[in-house]
Amino acid sequence: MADWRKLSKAILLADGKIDDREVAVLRKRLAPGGNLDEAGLEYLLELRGAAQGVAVAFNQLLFDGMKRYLLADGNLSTYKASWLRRWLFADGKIDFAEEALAAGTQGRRPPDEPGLRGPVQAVHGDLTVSVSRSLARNGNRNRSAPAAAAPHLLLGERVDRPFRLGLRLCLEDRLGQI
Amino acid sequence: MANWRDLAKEALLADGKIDEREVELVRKELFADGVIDRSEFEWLMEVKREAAAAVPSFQKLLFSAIRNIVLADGKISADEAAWLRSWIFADGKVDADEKHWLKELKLLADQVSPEFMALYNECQAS
Repeated sequence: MADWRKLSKAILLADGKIDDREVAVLRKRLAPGGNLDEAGLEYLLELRGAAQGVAVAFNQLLFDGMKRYLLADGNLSTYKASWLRRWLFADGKIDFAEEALAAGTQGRRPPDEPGLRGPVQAVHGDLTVSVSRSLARNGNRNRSAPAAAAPHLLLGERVDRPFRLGLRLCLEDRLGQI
Repeated sequence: MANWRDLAKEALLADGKIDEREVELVRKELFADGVIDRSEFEWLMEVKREAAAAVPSFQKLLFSAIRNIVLADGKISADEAAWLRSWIFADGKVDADEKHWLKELKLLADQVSPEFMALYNECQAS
């Protein structure tokens, strides 16, 4: 039996790029009604990692899908925090979009819930180090602007609120740059 | 859960055409285990029907798939003839490629059933 998932990925990446027509197919098949599940998100993340270039609409589909998935019930669970961490560090580096996400989530109070504390602190810790190094390397300190622009929004009592705001800032920042 | 089979088909047809690079990708995946099954052939036929254009190597790939399935034991049984009929007449017409496939199958088969001969004669006469 054919591995249809593998075949579809090979077809989409045949020319190295994901264009608007292909994004329309992905949207129709993976996000009917706008919601992506974890399998669909991981597929898009794999495509993004393997493609030489993607259309703007691809990033919109991916980031909208991530936002909806991660914050589906208003809280970022331990499982989803780990999932996010795995994705962010999958290629061993933080890219621009991920920097924006990190900039929006730095300096956050750790969660009160014991089950969430470890994973979220780990995410924050890794991101802080990686982003600091990356910003220093790029000589660009303005990338942390989203966090600096709205510090009062980033000190929520609950872990889900900072993450929600961080993600929103990441998305706004990222989409504004495209 | 995503329907990867349909996603693969629509990705292949995103620009309406099937080019050489895509044929090679499909060949590599579908023939990875050396055999092709009916569901994989049915996927290829759906692609053929919905594509606005396809390179000649795609037709060759389709015929390889048919031969692989129908001539696995060298004979074309009544059941296999009925299966071929369902695909050939699915769009209500018999095209030149399908007539050619039937001729090739008839030549390559060690033995054919009366049902296959009936299908063959009907298609060649149309």
